[in-house]
Amino acid sequence: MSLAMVVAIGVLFTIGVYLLLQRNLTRVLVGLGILAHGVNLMILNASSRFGTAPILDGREGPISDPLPQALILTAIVIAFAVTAFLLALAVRAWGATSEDFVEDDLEDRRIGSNRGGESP
Amino acid sequence: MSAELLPLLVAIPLGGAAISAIAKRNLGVQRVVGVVSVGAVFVLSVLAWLEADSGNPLEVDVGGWTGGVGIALAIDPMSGMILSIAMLLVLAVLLYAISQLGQDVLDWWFHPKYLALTAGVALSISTADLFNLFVGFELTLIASYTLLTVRSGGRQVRSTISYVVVNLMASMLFLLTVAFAYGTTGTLDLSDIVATLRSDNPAMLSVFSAMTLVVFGIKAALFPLYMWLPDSYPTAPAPVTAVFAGLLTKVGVYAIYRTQTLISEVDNALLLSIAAATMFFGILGALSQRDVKRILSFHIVSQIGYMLMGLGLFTLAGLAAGVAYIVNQIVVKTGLFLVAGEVDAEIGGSDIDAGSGLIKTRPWLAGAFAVLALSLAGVPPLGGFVVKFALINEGLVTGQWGVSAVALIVSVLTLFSMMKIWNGVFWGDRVGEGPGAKRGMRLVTGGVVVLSLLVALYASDLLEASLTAAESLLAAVGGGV
Amino acid sequence: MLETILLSLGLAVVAVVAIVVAWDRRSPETAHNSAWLAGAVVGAFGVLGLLNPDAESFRVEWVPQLNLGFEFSLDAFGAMFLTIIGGVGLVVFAFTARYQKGKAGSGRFIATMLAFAASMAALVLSGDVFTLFVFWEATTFTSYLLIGQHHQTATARRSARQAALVTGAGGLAMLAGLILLADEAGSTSIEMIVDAGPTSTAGWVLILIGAMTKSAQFPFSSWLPSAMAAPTPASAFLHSATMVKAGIVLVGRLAPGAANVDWWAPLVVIVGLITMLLGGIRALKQTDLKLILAYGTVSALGLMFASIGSGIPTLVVGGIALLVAHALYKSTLFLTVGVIEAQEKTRDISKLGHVGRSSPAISVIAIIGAASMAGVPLTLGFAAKEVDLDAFLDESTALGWAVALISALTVAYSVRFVASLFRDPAREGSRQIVGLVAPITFLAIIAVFFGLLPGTLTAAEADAAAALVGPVEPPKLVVWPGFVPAFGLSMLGLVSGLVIGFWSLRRSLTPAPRSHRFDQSIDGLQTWAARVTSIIQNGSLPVYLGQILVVAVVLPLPALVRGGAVPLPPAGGVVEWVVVVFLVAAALALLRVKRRMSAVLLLGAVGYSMSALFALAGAPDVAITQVLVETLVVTLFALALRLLPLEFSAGGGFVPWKGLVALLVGGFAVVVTLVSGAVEPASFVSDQQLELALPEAAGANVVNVTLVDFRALDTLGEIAVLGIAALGVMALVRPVGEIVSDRSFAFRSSPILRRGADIINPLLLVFALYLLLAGHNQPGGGFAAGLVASGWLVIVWLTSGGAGVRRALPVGPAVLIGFGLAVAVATGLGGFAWADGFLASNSWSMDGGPLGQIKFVTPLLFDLGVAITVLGSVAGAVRGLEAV
Repeated sequence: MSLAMVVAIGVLFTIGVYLLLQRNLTRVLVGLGILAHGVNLMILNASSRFGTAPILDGREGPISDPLPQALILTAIVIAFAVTAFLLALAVRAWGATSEDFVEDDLEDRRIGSNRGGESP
Repeated sequence: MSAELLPLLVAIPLGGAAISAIAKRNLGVQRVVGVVSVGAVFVLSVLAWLEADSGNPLEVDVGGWTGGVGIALAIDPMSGMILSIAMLLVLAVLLYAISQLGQDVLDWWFHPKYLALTAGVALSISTADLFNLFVGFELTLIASYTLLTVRSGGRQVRSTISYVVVNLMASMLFLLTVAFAYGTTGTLDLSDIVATLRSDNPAMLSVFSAMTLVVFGIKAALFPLYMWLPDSYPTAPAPVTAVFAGLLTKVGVYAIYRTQTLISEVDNALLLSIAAATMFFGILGALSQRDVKRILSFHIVSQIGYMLMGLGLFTLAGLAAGVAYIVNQIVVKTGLFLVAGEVDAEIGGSDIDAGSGLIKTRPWLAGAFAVLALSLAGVPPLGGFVVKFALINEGLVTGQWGVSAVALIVSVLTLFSMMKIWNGVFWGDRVGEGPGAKRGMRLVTGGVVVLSLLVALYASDLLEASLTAAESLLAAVGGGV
Repeated sequence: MLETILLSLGLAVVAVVAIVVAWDRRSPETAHNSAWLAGAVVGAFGVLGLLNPDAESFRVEWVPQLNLGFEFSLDAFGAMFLTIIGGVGLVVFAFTARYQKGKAGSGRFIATMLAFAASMAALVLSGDVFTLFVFWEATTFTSYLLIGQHHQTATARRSARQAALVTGAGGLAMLAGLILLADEAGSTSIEMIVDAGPTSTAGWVLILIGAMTKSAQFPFSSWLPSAMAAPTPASAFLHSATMVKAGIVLVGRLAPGAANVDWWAPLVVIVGLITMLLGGIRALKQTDLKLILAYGTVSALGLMFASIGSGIPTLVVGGIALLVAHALYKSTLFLTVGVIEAQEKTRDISKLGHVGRSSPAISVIAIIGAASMAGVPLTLGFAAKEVDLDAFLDESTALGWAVALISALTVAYSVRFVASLFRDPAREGSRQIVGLVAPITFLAIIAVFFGLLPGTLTAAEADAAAALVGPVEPPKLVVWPGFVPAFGLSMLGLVSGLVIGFWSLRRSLTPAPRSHRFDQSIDGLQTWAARVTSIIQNGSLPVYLGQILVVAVVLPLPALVRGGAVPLPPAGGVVEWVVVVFLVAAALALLRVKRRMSAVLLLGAVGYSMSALFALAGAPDVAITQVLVETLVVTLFALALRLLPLEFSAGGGFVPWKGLVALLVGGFAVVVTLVSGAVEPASFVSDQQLELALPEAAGANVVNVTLVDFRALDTLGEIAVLGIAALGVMALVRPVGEIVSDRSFAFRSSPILRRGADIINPLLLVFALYLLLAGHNQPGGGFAAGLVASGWLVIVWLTSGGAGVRRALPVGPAVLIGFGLAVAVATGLGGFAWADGFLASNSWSMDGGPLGQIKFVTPLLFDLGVAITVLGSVAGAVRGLEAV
């Protein structure tokens, strides 16, 4: 782990979260992507073993920890899968409205404005 | 049963999903594969549970890699019990979905998705590895995302987007926790992580505890992390919501039980406060709604508070009560959503538009609702009463006045919101139009109602088994799930 | 023996309920006759009470761990109550048989009434507090159903709800109280608890609340008048004779155990008398005959509550005398109202002035009942009230006076009830319904009998009181008590009551508006709930996310920073910094970017910087995969975004709280990284993996070995996630049955692109194959291979469209996904054959001639499955997104 990595992690998390909190769906998606990068970088830096690639071809010297790398690979794929699905959802939503705002939940809004009312 | 067979809990449904995907438009094949796969998983989990319950917990290192190099799967009385009941209802809901003609044909891939969900639940409950638990969660989640959109109307898409974004963010937090755990302990095996932290770095154990509580708390829908749930569940088709309601949050609760007991330094005051707040704000939500599915969705949240209360008490009896509560809740909640599905089919909607008068045309459905709703509210002599009694009894006896009082008050309010549904849907004189519930749906709903009655009848055995499960939870402290 | 009897009775109830329900379904027109069946069963309860056999108590365990069980015992008090249930029940069912004639829902009504009767009987026979609670709730529930019998009307629905909520809430309070007392006493048996004399204040208060709600004591009385929405037989049976006395049964049984609680008796008496007073006043304001009786019941319950609940032996004796008398006269009067309503179709006293003269039989019965209610000499009510008043006078003169004066109100509403039937001199009226009058006549005859010979009840009532509080002085139930103080007070009450009663009738007879206080507070509760919910559940996704993030940071933070300062890591190399600066710049630019596509490209730039960082950190596999995935992500985004305007719409201004949350989370991530970096574990499990990879797993690329062997279960789950996501994409954007035409993309005609594709495509496929085969020892592996192969697919699609893809890849994405997953699962299962368990690996070497030793490892098959799934998934996603 180096200071450079820590800076990168901090920036990725901050910007990722900021974009995630926007109402614009494209920004939310990009924010999730950035956040995922930050998390992956964090996993990479979890181990203190750094060195050459964990490929056992007889070289001497320190070897990087293979386990976080395997975890990151799995995480990347999963994030990719979910992002692809979200994109499809977004497309579906856009198809209807041609705008990419994450609207508030209608029912919640209705309850909020209606304030309950009488019951049967 | 041999521990070597445990991976089949995941392999069978995944294999089934594969075949189902290949079969594509052949609904007949898909249905057979689905029922056979889920049935097999159910049988396996019961066998594993019985084995574990008789004192031989099962554990296997998948691929033969021991010592944390690989991934271990384990079934002890706790996981065996939860898994068995969960799989029984997964099977029931599958049959319901199949008979509700149109739900599983709307989408060629209902069955692969459903089987993936099954595999995800099985994996999440049986794994002993933190990162593998993440994978199990993701499998469950992706299946749930895609199932939510079986019928993709505008509202469904919107609510699914919220659901996916919240859960994806939760997954990020989960990975952050994994990074933290691996960085501080050098392992991914859950009990090894806890054991290492406890011996080497107790302060970090509290951090790990808090992180897992948040991550699993989002899935379990604890206060103040639950807001996504009531927005997304009600929009899905009935069988999908039923299986979500019955299972998904409970998998989160299960994970909280598992990790918190393992960590064993439970912050009672914190957990009990969260429990009380979850009960209370959940039921307030239910009171403010005018749609059956939304009321029931807020009940999911509210009821989670009771389960957490069992953990928060952190006595053997309290834990046992909590575990029994989870079991009953899986049955009852699933059943209620199946009823909601039938109501939808009968009156063509789920608004409690005062006085639909369904009791006239479907008295048995009204009866089914009454049994399940009263059980959920904790009215004797139903199963829900026994488990709630066990909880509140323990709460009062151990002097936890605050949470016990909230638990009682929320029970009244739960009863109230159930009456709201009853008054609005079953009583009254107008009968709405809908296609009507299919015979198979009725049979499955009836089956679940009978199951909930069996819970009451064999409540003593349930508590006995829950006690064994609670003991296994506490016994796991200090390593070796 | 009791066990056998109760079991047979229980079975009889179940059988009759089933018969009644079936009868109702078969022949709804004659279902009202099934009331006779129900009456027979209820009558059997009465017989059991009358015989009062000397029977052992018995217990059936239910959940022994929680001391939940069913324990029953039959003592004199239980027997007395059982007789009331049976006697009144029999008459009420006889009445019902005629009353329900021609009305819908008879079966439901009769079955519920019978279920109620059984629950009530079980309640009074309960020897265990939790048994009592179970049946207490059962009576609440059946009462709810009965009040809602006419559920077509909103009033019935609301009234049912009110009753169930008030008594349900009280029931739960009582449950908590019972738990506390049982815990203190160390037993759940009522007898043992009374013997132990627990002193838990909370316990006794909660029990009192429970009893007060059920017996409609102030301030919980309003549900009872509302409950008059129930059909009259139910009102007569539940809401006067039996259920509302459950609270009195509860305090009666437990009060002797409160001997050590000095506030108990005074409080109970005060509550009871206040209720008596308020009920009496309200009864005088009613214009609905049934409501006069309902408030009268509240008032009478108040006196009984004070008497029996106090636990003072003399008062208990008096209270029991009242209880018997009340059950008799109140059910008579209710049923009378039932007849009047059936005849006249109204219960409004301003329209019933002729009834007294036109229906003499009814009016006689009404007078008999009301006289007993008022406590006129020669009635049972008189005898009972004398006993009770005497007891109060014994206790304190002031109390005696208070009771006597409040009793004037009882006289007054009795007068109001009867006199209102005689206000109109007209003699014409509706025809009397004999079938309805007959059962009441029977009740009236009994009332007259006991009024003239009250002494016949002395022994039974003394025994009943003794069962509660131990040996007592028998009540002096006499027709003529002589000139004792109590008699004087009674007469005073009688006279003033007469005056008040007639005066009340002279006042306006317009009906008082029905109080909607309860419904209003219920609606208020719902409005409040909605307000709270709309604050915490405001429907805004950003708020939800922010909330979760803040909790996620705040909860672990205290423990995280407890360790104090952590050492800063080394700065890092120059190249590393260059990449990080580039990455940070790209990320920051995202905040300002206006065009959607630019945002996506910047995301790609961040991704490529990431892969550079991975490469620098000795993670070539991750670096390769990151590049491939990033390319795909940008492609998919491009496909999707073509639907939207180029630029973001306005409104994306800076929102302070979002910035704050972002900084908070960013800072948190830094702290977590630093803190976990400062903790150096004793060992990493990967050390073992590095050792085992070559000798045990026959692979040099440890990352790949981890993915396909050590942690292959993760990978199996991962490809399933990918495959399901792809299926989701396809299902989402292409509804079933819809055939999507290929859209024309202008660049497809570009010859340069086509020629380029022809050259690059075979290379990509060969490269993919290489990555797959070499992956176990070199960077690569199934996932990378699948992605590269997907690249080929994307290029085919770019150049020749969907049709081209279908030509190049004849099987559909779903089949590919399924096949890949199947291969992976099958390889896992193969582990049972070629090794010792699921996903266990094996390897074989063979002589490959000129190629040297060729080593075949089973994880290669698994990796093949991975590659196929990836290819299928990407194909599915591209097809899906293209098809929009």
